[in-house]
Amino acid sequence: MNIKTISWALILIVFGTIRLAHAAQPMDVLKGPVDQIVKILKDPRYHAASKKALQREKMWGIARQIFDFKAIARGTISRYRWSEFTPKQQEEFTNVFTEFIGNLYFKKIQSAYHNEKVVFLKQEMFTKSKARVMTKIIRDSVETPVDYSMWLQDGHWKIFNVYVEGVSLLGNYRDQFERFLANSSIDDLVSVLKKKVEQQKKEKGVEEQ
Amino acid sequence: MRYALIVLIVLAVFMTGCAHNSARTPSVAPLTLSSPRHSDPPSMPEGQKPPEEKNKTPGLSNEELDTLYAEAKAGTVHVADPIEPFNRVMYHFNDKFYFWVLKPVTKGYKYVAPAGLRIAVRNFFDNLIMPVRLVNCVLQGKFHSAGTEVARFVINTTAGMLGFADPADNYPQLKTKDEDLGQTLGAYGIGNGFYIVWPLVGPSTLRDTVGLTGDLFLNPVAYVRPVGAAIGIAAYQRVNTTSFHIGDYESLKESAIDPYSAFRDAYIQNRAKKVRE
Repeated sequence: MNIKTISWALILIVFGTIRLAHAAQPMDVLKGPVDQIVKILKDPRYHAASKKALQREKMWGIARQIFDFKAIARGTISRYRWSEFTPKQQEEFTNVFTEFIGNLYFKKIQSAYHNEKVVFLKQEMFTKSKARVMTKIIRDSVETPVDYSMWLQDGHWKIFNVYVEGVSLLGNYRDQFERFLANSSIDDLVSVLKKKVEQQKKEKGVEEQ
Repeated sequence: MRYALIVLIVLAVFMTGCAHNSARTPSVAPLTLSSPRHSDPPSMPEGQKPPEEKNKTPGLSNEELDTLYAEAKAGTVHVADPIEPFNRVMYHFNDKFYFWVLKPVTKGYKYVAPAGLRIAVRNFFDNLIMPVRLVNCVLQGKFHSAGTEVARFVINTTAGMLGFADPADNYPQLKTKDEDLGQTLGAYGIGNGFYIVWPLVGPSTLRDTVGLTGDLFLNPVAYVRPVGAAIGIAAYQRVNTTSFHIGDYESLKESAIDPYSAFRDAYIQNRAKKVRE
């Protein structure tokens, strides 16, 4: 094998790998976890009220792979506010906010799940590493548009914002937190969120709707 | 004349379920929808970066932070709220109305009425207010959509047995968007004015209130006599619509640290999205 062949082989390998990395489309990446969650929701093993916590645990595991919770928490606090947080407050806030929105989301889908269908509509690539995936959830022939902003982090597509009916998760919390922090301290914000999480935990099972 | 006015007001009260929250574009819960930020805290302009970016999240580059903050700011639309004290009182009234009246009634209704029936009723009312969507499509120059509305109406009124069924739904090319006068005015460049929470109706703005009132003239239910019957129909429609959304209001409320302003933001963003479409 001469040097030319080797260099061609190398070039092919390098570019081939790049192509492969780019071949993963955000929409396809999203489909996997969504299907998994739907499967868990449908699984009769988790239908007993006593198994709901376990079911939630399972869904958390999947959600953590696909949601960039750190970025979501960070995005709800404006840039200059964030620099006022001590590292400890930043960590506390990130953890409690993640738990808060995760619980909200799972509670909602656990209680409301009655054979909804998730339809993947399309994806829009803004840059090579930023995209939006449009979906809709159909329940009793009521359609709810849900769009996901995704970006590429260390080679993995992750969700960093969600729009439900055009309402942005980041935008909504950003406004609320900004208003709250105008009159209250960062520690107050963290403790309000902690209280909310406590409340979420206290609620036994899920209300049938 | 006074008679007509009363009908109009009462209908306005109950009809939000149709134009604004038509089941076809499922919105949050009928009563919910929501708001802007008026009393912005004195904040540093977002573009200005603080001198030292000391507490960076490990793993997020400056570019990524820019992307993140741009995204967080992009979705937000705000509205003036000069009558916030009044609005807050109305918000609490509506909240109680939902939990004490609308929700229990709807739950009872849902218990006796199977989903198929409720969907049929929803389709019927959707079909009935076709004139509202049609006129607003035309006013916005969306002639293709206007044609689609007519086609849908013809198919659903005949093959769909007066609109109780929705056979047109099987044709993707016959999909329509929700249109109302508030959106038309928005498309003309008229701003929200300010935020208003009406008792029973829920979140609105000056512009959307004008729109809602105008749309009533195109709503056949507004012409039903006696007035009591019109009110009854409107109330029933509200309950039927709500039956598809029980739980939505609750989750949105739970998700907020200040529900009043969260509903206000959500209403404004949702409407802005509809105007854009």
